[in-house]
Formats: sequence, C-alpha cells, structure tokens
Amino acid sequence: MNLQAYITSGILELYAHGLATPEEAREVQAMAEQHPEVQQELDAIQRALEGYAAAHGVQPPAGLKDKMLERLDGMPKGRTKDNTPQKESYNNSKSKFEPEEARVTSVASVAAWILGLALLGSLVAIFLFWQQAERATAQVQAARSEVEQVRKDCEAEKAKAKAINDQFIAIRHWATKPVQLKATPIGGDAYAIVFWNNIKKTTYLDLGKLPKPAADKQFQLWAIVDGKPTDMGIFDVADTSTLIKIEGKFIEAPQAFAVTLEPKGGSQAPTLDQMWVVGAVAGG
Amino acid sequence: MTETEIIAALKLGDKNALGEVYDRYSAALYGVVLRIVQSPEVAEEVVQDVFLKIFRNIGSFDENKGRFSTWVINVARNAAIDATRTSEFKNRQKTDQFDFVVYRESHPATNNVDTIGLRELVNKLDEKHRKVIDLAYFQGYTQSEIEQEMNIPIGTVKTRMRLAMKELRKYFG
Repeated sequence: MNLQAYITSGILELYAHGLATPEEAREVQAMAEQHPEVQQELDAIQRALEGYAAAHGVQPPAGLKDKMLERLDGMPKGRTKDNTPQKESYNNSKSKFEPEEARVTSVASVAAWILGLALLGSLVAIFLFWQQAERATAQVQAARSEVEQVRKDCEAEKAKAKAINDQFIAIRHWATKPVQLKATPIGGDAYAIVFWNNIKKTTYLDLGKLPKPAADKQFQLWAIVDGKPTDMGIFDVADTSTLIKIEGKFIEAPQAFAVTLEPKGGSQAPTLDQMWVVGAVAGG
Repeated sequence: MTETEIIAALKLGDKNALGEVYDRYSAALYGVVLRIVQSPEVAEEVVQDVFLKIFRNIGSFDENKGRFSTWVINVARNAAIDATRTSEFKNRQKTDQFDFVVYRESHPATNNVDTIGLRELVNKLDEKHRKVIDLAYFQGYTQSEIEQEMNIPIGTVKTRMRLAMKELRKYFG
C-alpha cells in the first residue's frame, strides 16, 4: 500500500478518536509498528487531540485529590471493586482490570492472570464475532427477502405487460372485427366492445362503461347465432383498464353479441328484459 | 519526577506517584469528563474512579506503544462515556438538567491554555469539523452514529476529521 495515501486517508484520525473498528485498529497498530512515518503522524494527531482535551481543562474541586487518595488507601489489596471492562477500540486503554497484587506476587499467579485475561479476551472476541455474524446474517436475510419481493413484483409486472401486449397484438390483427355493443333502454350510458377474430379464433371483451352490478348479480356475455343466444361466460366488472379474454369458446359465425345482467353464477338462457348492451356483427 | 519515573513508580505500586499524576492531569481529565457527563457531581465520581483505574491498570500500559497522556485521557474518556450509559445516569439527567455552558463561564480553565486562547481556537475550527471531533471524542459516538447524526457518509467524516486535526495541529502539533 502507498504509505502516503494511508497516512492521508483519515484512518489515523479515526483511530485516534476511538472510532476505528477493531480490525481497523489492529491494522493501524501494525502499520505504526512497521513504519516510523505512520507512528510519527499518529503521535502528532494524538498530541493535537490531547491539546484539544487539555484546552477544555477545568480545575476540579479542591477536596477531590484527598478523596481520591483516601479511596486508594481503602482499596482492598488484590481485589478489584471495579470490573467494568474498557472499551475495545481505544489505542492504549485496552487495559482490562488487573489487580495490584498480580504485579508483585509470584510468576505463577501472573501467568494465571495472563491466562485468565487471554481466555476472557478470546471469549469477548468470540462474542463480538458471533454478534457480528448474527448481524450480517440478519442483514443478508433482509436483503434476500427484499430481492425476493422485488422479483415477485417484477414477475407480476411482466405478466401484466405481456397480457396487455397480447391484447394489443390481437386488436391490431387485420382480421379483428370490433363490435360495438350499445345500450338498450335500460342500459343508460353503458357500452361495451367485443373484438372478434375469425382467423385467430379469439374473442376479447372491452368492458367499456358497464356499471358494477350488485353483489348477487353478474353480467353474462352472449353470442347470437342463427337467432339463438349462446353462453359466452360470466365476468366481473373489476379492472376496466384491460380487456377480458373469452377463453375456451369461439363462435364461428355470430350475428350479434349481447350482455345481460343475471343472478350470480350466470343463467342457462338470457334474461331478456335485463339486456344492457347489444351490437350486431357487421357482415355477420 | 519525570513522566518515565512516575510510570515506573506507579508500576511498583507507589501511591504517591498517583498524586503526581493527579497534579499533572486532573484539570485535563476533569475537563474532559465534565464535558462528557455534564454534571460536576458525576464528574467528581468518575474522575476518582479514573485515577484508581490508572493505578490499577498501569501494568497494561506500555510506554513503547503509546503516549502516557493519550492513555490517561482515553481511560478518562472511556470511563465518562461508560458512565453516561448507565441507567442511573439517564434517570438523573431527566430530572436534573445541567447547563454546562454556564458552569464553564464561572469556572474558567486554569490549565496551560487560557480560556481566551481556547475560545479563539474553537472559533477558528469550522463548526462542521468541530462537531465531528466533539461527537467522536467527547461523546463517544461510533462511526455509524456520527453518519446518522450528521447525515454524512463515513468518507466525509474522515475528511472533516482530517481537516479539523490539521487546524488543531497548528496549535498543538
């Protein structure tokens, strides 16, 4: 790595402020050990921060020193009252509690302490790693479900686009005949259009301006062949922005199409006084 | 006593050496702690703890790896930041709103840098730059907390920090 780039990257400042992540902190420490320039820069930053801190200095109340020294005298030997571990990411203050006795007593107990601290250190490390892994897993999961949702939305949009495109192609086909269904006296301002194609054998219904029927009623489309009505299926007036494709039924030579309002589920024969719109097929 | 002597004495368990440390650093540490906990009462408690911690943990301080003053100030910062995270502290803060600014005016720093000099210096720092330093150094915010608080990406945090340090180093470098 380019040393100068490293020095000016801002990572040393981050570290001196105690903001570096544990990995970054290890890296800074290693870099400072290897490169005197890094160490120098770090020292300068720390001196500046200390200056800034000292500039905020406030003389503590007069009795504080004695109080503190009293507490120091009262401290039971080799026992720490205060077990708060220090924050990990700070440069030199990583000190875990270390009882005063440990320094002066036998090598064995020092070793035991070191071992204990090492163990504690690794437990902390394991915990931190575990926590990090947990967090990462949760993030991955959240991202995954988001992607899944986006994928679903995308599929839905694609299906919709394809349906509309299919309809567009069908309507534009040279053999498609639009059949205007106009309102009967009970139909008010309702209208509908049937797109009928004798070559492609398709029938589409444009709901036009049919009202939403009562909950127990449904509209039903009929084709009139040789003066007799043939059932073309029931449909709901929900989404009027796309056409309804009439599936499975194709009438070769209809003379007319009509829509009647029927009890929910449709009827065998049309209720003629409930015919809302009707239109003849040109040349049919 | 030189600093090296003080450290050696501390490592041997010499309690008088801690008095020396107190004389040298109490104003800086009290100032830092007060700034973080914003209550003289709490600051007194924390500062006492800090000196006891220094005495207790001096074994973990390695002169070859870092400066004593940095270490001491970081012990104080950590202790103060930890103190603000206790539930007791949070409860106290609700009932006892302390006006830090007023306090500072009536108890000017008696340290090596006079108050006027500090004000001058702080005024020279760009507000945006100072805020980054203060959030990180005095309030113990993490990277992501600063990103959120100031609504800037970590790259900008670094840049601002670097610029602010450049200014500071003119005075203290």
